[in-house]
Formats: sequence, C-alpha cells, structure tokens
Amino acid sequence: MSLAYIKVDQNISLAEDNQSGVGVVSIEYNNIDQFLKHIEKRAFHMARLSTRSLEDAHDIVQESMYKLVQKYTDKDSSAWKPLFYRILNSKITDYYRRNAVKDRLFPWKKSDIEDANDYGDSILDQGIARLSEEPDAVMLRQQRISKLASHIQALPRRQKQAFMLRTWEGLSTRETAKAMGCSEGSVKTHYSRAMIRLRSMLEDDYND
Amino acid sequence: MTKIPVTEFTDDLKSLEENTQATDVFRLARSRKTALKQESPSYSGIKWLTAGAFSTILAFSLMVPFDTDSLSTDNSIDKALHAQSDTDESVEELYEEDFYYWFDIYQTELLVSND
Repeated sequence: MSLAYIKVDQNISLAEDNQSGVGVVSIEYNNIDQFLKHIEKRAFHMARLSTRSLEDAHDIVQESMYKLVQKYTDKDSSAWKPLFYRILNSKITDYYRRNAVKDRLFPWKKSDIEDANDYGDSILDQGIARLSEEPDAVMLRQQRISKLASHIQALPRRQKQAFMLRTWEGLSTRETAKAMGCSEGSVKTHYSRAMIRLRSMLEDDYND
Repeated sequence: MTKIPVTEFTDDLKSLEENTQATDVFRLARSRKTALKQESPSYSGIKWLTAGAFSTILAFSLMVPFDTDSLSTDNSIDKALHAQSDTDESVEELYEEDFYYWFDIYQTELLVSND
C-alpha cells in the first residue's frame, strides 16, 4: 500500500486524548481506492459485531462504500474516515429498525443472526497466531480475542460504536462525535461506560 | 482491579482484522470495485425480493377469473370461414328459389293437363 505520508497529529488529536491513552495517527490517502482498501476489513468486522450477521455485514459495508464514493469523492481525504463511519453507522441503525419492524410483523420468524458464540468460534477456527508464539500462548490469545468479540457484541449500540471507533479505528473524540452524530460529551460518556464494562468482564483474561 | 490498558484491546482487535477469512477479503475487494465503478450494489436478498414479487403476480393472475368470451380473436381464417358460410347460405337460398320456381311451374302444368 503506497501512502502519501503518515502524520501524527500532535497538536489536536493526541493532546486531547492523552488522558484516555488512545494514540491517534492520521493517515493521508492518495485516492479513495486506497482509503477503502485500508478500512474495509475493519469496517466489515465492526458491521459484523453490530449486526451479528455475516451477510448483512457485507451488504452494509458494500452500501457504505458505494455511498461514500457516490457522494463524497470530491471531499478532502481527511474527511473520508468520519464520513464513511457516519454512513456505516446510519446503515447499521437502519438495519436495527428494519429488524424491529420485521420481528413485530412476523414474530414467529426470527432474524437470521449468529450467536455471540458463533463469531467467537469462527475466530478460534481462524487460527490467529503470531510468529514465534508458543501454541498454548496462541490458544490463550484466541480465546481472549473470542471473549473480547463476544463482550463487544453484547454492549449497547452506542457504547459499541464509541468503543470501536475510538479504540479500533483510532478516531479522536471530535471525529467520533461526527461519525456517531452526537456531541463530544456523549462520546466520552459512551466510551467510558464501554471501557468500564469490558474491563470488568475481561479482567481475568487480560491479567494472566 | 488492575486496569487493562487500551492498547491490549487495540492489539487484539488488529489481530482479528489481520486474520480476516480469505472469502471475506475477496468479497470486500469485489464490493470495493463495485463501489468505485458505481455499479448498482448487489444484495444477497435481492433474489428473494424478485421471487416474492413474481409469486405475488402469479397468485394474483390465478385468482382473477379468466373470461374467454371477452377475448376478441382477430383471426383472418375465422373471418374467411364466416364470409364463406354467408356465401354458402346465399347460394343455398338461390338454389331453393330455383326449386320453388320450377315446382310452381310443374304444378301449374299438372293442373292444366288435368283440366
């Protein structure tokens, strides 16, 4: 992947988020294709954790990419990330609303969602490993990641979004607020609650 | 409670991303190309929508009564046959007229001869 340059924004992002310990790196992209290639996998996993459905996650990511290219190619590349996640979150919200209506109209027909354990099992099957890692360390890490994914899935929607955008994507509070369509104060609240919850649930797994 | 550093979560999530299954990576690449070309996105559920719409149209067409009488057949053969039958009738009428004319003469001659 060729990039124009990688810039660490010390003036705004890092100073603002120093207390939470989140390092923010802003990357400049030469074109929108590079940008989509960089974020597609992350966006897919975020959508899957939100929807609990592999097929719906793919559909949502495809629609989001399509809309971003259709409407915002002309925008500055620094705006693409928050815009893309704003679109992604809107699509996920639409998904929840559609499912709520469907479940109300056809209560006997459950939505095809995967259990939290299914996603966790698929992670275990993937065989996540690093070079020079012992087999038992690999197994422990896989189990830990599987549990992390399960607990993220169980978070309330807004906490989940705030956590994934801040921790995984590395967006600043301001960018996360733009992506979520809420205030920076709300982002801090959602993020803080998500962290408290995850830390309490995963304390034993991460402190071995 | 020991506070779990955020970086631990970030590392694990990045591992998850790096180890995305090949089939998913392929599908994402295809979605990206579709988006860049601005082709209409394909949905996994579109075939169900199409099947549902088709079934509805089929069910509706079967429910509506089918009236054969109202059908208008623009059949040139039927028209020709109809015209021909008209002609045949007129020819038959003509033959009947001749017959009755002859019969009338025959009767008159009989009467005259009997006198």
